[in-house]
Amino acid sequence: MEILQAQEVVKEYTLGKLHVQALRGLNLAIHSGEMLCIMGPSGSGKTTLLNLLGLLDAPSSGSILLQGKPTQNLSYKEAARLRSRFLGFIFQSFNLFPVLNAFENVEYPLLFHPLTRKERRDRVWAALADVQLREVAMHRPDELSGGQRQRVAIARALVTHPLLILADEPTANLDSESAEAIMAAMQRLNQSHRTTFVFSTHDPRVVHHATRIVRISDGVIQHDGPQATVTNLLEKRISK
Amino acid sequence: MTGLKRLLQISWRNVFRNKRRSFLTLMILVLGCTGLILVGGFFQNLMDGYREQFIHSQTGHLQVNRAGYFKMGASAPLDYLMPDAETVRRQVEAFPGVDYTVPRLKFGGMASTENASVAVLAVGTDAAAERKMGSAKAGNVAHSSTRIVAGQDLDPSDGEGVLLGRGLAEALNVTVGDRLTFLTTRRAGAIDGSEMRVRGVFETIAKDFDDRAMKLNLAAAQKLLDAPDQVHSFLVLLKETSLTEATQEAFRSRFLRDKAGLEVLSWEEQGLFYRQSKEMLLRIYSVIQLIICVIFVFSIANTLNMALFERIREFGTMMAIGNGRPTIFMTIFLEAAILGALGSALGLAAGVGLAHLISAIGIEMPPPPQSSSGYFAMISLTPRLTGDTLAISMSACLFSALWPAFRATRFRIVHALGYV
Repeated sequence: MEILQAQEVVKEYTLGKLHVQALRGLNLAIHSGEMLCIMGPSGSGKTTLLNLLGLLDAPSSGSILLQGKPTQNLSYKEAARLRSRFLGFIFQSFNLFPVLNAFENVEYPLLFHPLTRKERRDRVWAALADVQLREVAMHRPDELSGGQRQRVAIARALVTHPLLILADEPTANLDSESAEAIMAAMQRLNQSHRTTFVFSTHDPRVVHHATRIVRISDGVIQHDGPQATVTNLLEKRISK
Repeated sequence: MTGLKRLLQISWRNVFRNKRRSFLTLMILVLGCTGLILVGGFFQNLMDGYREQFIHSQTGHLQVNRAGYFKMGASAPLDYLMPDAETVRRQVEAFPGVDYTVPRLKFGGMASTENASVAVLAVGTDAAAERKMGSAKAGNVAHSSTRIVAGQDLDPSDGEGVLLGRGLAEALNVTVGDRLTFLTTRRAGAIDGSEMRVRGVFETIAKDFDDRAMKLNLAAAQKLLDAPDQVHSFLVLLKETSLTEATQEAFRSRFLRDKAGLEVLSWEEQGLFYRQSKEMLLRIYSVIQLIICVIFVFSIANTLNMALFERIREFGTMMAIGNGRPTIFMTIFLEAAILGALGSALGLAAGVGLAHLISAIGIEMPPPPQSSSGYFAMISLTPRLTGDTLAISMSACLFSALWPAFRATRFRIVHALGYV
């Protein structure tokens, strides 16, 4: 089942006098349960695509369909409501609230959902358990390692039971060991909870966690297929 | 509700995130509020003190006259004598809230000694009532509003004894026990004179009054004018100054209904100088309030703007998670409200504490305008003063939050998330 679709999406920016076309008529469909990796070099349009898929920005033309419904004419408020209800976000710099502890950070998105206190707390503890962070629940972000902070961010994205979690370079600010742990955690959640993940990276060491890889370059999709196929293809190209 | 509670929690914690900056902002609020309390309380005390002295030395809370006396009485005092004064006095003293009355019979004349002749305002009065009025505690002022500075007060049994204002005694160059001749015009137009003896010298807050006033027993004045049981006015002293307006209304409705041909004036209606002084002090205080308010606005706005730019990415995250613009606005608004509430509470506490301390010591003041004696001023705290200070502080804080909060709601999410 297609959760999210990008249809003929174009995104243009104007940077001073420079006119930049970040995405050029891109088509993509994301299916439930996928662990989709968007790869590409810097400036290829990965973050732009994730922003559009996450309804954080609007395409210059084309459309984004969430569960088959177009989103281009949504008001700010409606888009915010859809993000709150259906989407989770993981950021490169974790973006935790420094004044809240891990538990409170994970709980934050639920405060605007119609849940009882008990339901909310149960969900938070479950999400923290999923990322194996129950023991540091009362620690503030500055008392956690980079890897732990990103796991808190994953729990925060997970706690609303979203259709899809979008992660923009979730391992970019982590050492390789922490990066591997984060990807393993996401993969585990994908397999156990059937949570759909879309993550961007330019780190080839983490792509093996994906079930599908989309490689984009200059705003267009170069390759789109199962992880093994695309990885083989890319390796062959590199060896040639 | 849960969301608002957590926003309040976040805002509260954010206030203390940059402790140094918040401390400085709070200090500005505390100093500003303290300043407003102290200056406002000082001005209030000046006005209260002057008001009570004015009331207890010259006008009473209310003055009951023959109709027209206030405007025209100075030129033709004998045309405005109130007949059957004792009946009027009994009626007036029967009103609720009235403590006592002081009769006044005022007329002009010439006091002469061997060396000098001075135009005099003669005031016939009831010595006991006058003494009671003059020795009343005038606000926080340490001395009474009428002081006998030499000799003794009037005595009804001493028919020729008079009190002279300090300035008048100096102008006539007389001391206690000296004699003077007083000439005045009687009702029929005849000039009559009387020998009088200086029994004492008095001083009030009004130097121009002291420079020309002579007080004598009411009976002696009535005899001199050939006006038995007649007075110009009854000064009405109430149990509380705050009862003035209501009692004046009650008097007016009663006297108008009875067609008694009387007028009732409040101390404020008679006190042009008091009104002008009060107006001037209020204007000065308004300017001080405005200046402090502007300082508050810029200070809080600066703090919030700095906090805003440090936390743009956090606001981007909040928006990405699904928070609407009202939530973003509220986060900043609550921070301003917390800063305002804390600063105001601390400022009010500091202001009130200092006000009590200063009042316990007293501020030595020189003689006010038109007065001949200094006094100790204090800081008068009123619910209105603290309420106004709180309102200024809080509204300045909330007002200064409007623009930063609005700006935060207008961030584009992708820019906010990418802000470094």
